[in-house]
Amino acid sequence: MNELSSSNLNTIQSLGFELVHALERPSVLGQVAIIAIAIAIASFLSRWLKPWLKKHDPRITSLLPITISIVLLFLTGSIYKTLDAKFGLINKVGELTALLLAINLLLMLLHHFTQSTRIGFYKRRLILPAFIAFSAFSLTNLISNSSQVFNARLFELFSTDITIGDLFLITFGLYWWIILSSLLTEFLQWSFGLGFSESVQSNKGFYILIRYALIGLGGFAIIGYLGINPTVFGLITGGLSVGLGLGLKEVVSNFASGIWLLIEGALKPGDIINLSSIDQSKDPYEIGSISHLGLRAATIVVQSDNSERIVPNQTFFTSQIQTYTRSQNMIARKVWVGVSYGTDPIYAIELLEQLGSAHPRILKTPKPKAYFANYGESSLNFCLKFWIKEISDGLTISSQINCQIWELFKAKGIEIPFPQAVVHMVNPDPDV
Amino acid sequence: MLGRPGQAQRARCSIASVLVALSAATLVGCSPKGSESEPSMIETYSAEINANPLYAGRRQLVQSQLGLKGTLLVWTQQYQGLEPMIQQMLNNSIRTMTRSFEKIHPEVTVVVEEYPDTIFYQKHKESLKYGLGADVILVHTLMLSSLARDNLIKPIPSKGIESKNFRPKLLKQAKQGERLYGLPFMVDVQALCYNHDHVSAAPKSLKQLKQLASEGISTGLSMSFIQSIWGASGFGAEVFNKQGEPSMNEESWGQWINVLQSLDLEPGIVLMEDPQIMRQYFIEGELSMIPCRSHEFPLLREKLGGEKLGVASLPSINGIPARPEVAGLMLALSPIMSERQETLAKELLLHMTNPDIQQIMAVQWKSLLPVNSKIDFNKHLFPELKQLTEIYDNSTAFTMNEWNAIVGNFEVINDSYKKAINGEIKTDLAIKRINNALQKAIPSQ
Repeated sequence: MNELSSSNLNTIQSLGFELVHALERPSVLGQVAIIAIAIAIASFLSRWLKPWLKKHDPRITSLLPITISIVLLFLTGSIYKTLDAKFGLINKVGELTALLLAINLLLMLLHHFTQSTRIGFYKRRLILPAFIAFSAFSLTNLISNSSQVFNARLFELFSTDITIGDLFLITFGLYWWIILSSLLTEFLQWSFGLGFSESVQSNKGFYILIRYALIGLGGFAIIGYLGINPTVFGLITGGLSVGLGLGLKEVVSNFASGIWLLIEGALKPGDIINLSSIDQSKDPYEIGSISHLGLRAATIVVQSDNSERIVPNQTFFTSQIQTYTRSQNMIARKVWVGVSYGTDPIYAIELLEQLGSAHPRILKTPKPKAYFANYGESSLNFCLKFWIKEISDGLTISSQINCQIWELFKAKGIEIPFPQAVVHMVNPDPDV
Repeated sequence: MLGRPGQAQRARCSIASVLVALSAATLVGCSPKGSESEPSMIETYSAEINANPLYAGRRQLVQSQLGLKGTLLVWTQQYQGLEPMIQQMLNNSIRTMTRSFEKIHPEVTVVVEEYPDTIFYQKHKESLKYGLGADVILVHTLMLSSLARDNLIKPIPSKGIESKNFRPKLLKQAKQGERLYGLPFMVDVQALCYNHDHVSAAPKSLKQLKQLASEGISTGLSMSFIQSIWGASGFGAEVFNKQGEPSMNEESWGQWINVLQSLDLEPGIVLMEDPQIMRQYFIEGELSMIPCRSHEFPLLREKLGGEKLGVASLPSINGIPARPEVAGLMLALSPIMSERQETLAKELLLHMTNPDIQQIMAVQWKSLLPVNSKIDFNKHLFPELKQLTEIYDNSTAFTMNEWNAIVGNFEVINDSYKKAINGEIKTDLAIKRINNALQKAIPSQ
């Protein structure tokens, strides 16, 4: 081991030696054994009681092992105290377990009042890891000088010493900050009472921007705290500018497009667009809804088959997109019908408009309107134009209207003819 | 096999935990012991010791000391009021000693940790509650009594400890009855430091000091109680009598305080409260003579530069040599060690107070007296050590109980003393207050 690596590892090795040293002491070993036994008993008891508890209140099941552990630990701690033996470790673990119980209870209460499905996510990704880190730090601090451990130099980066603490900050710290940014953004959304209002889609883009801004801010704060000279990044980006310009052109373009889309709000999560405008889809009416708008690409759920397409942001930025939900969600649909020659066109128009007005999912304003479109080869052709609220309902409502037209015309004796032609002969020969 | 997502996650966690544990075990196994170089002075000195037939028996280990293995934890302090250079020297001395101990006992690992002195004792007390903490702690002499009283340290087993190897005054400071609570590690005496550029020879008496002051040689003196008791003996004053009872004579102490008051009025002599400020003025050349502690010599030598620093005894008064107090650092044992740790700790204590090791430290510092009674350094090569020996011989060593009484009433004592010097209260009233405070503390022990 060379001198550099030995000095880097000294502090970590010392921590290991101190742990061994602590376990050599009968008082410490005894306490550790008691703690392990208490946790094992709690685990066994909770498994035994689980079926009975599930019948009464399944929520308490998850808290049972923690609760039993706390009781056992404080009980044994009291016994140790009475015997004038060292019991600090038992108490410490008991306190940490009590803290875990309090966290779990708080989250349960929060879930009860908010009914939010995100609480479980933040518990697993943010709160429990933070608790584990805090417990590890607390217990390490008992054995060793944790500030010395965290200040142990590992390597040098851009003339800045990187310590163990710095490494934790870059990895776990950044991870926690990203999750925390997400939580803060969601909290902001909830605080400003978005709920399920119609403006959810338009404001989601705004909150995505806030989240990325928080993450960026956190990243810079961490770099600043580490002491890495920011001019280094200027040098790197300057040196890589050619590479960035050529090789990363698409990535940067997508990134910039994504930022611009979010700021402009031209497209946002929840918007419904016509997919034929951005791809080679043969179906001119293939529609999809934007489920996620990221910084590089958007995720679109195709309504016909529920598949998902990942479309780079640049596509939206440079192509003409047909959207059905830009400023409002109303969309017009048309159904065509032909009636036989001899039918009163005014009557036919009346019937069609009545049908349109009677349909519950067709908007009353603007009113549905029927038109005599043209004289067809086989029929008089009419068009019924109506407005609906959601583009995704278009096909269904059109089908329903077509069926109703069929029923109504049948009832009124109006014929919907087959394609037919009348042939008029010129100068007929009696002998032929 | 791992059908449910929960099982897969638990399996991943288990594998990750095992990998982390294996990595930690690998790191622990990678010993750095052979990689650092020892100071060459120790190697040279060790080689000389080994070659010299006079010392043939001193480094041989007895059978019981062979085959020692285990881990020792030593806690030292980062003194907030100490100059970084001196703190670094102290840390280096301790680490040099622990590494030489590890070389002698290859299967022993000594881990040294430093804590700020502001939290050191609290940290030690808290750790004991958990059954954790250091095996050996480095404490100041004046803290020994309160640590012993609160059972935060344990008496050092007398087996294997040769009392006659240590300076009697220092052992007296670590003993309570027949119990020895610490082994002296570093001794710190009070001397008179002067600047050779301004002063050719140090004054031997207070009269000479006044004479030099009138000739323009500026002198700083301390007005804190502990730092100024050196002169009280010139008037037959003492703090405690031979039985350890407070016996501050109002008349004698009054005379000394009056002398201090008159010195304050002398041009060229200034009484200061803060020793750090006084030291700074000395370094900057504003003061030519100040009382100083022996552990400060390396700093003053470096700051003044060259051979400018002169060291002498504090001036005698009425023909009676100055009797400054002596203190220092002690090595103490934790009360909760395993049997093996206790054996190792005791061996470490003996190693760190070994005459060879102490002399190496004394030579490196050129300002510390070894704690051992029999020393054989060359007094011509190290004149400061010769001077310090003379100072030490005349110094006052408070016992554990006496230190406890002083420390427990430090504010009252210092406040009354200072007010008396400033003329805010009468000297006999001040001495009465100090005596009363000390008397309250002593009988309760």
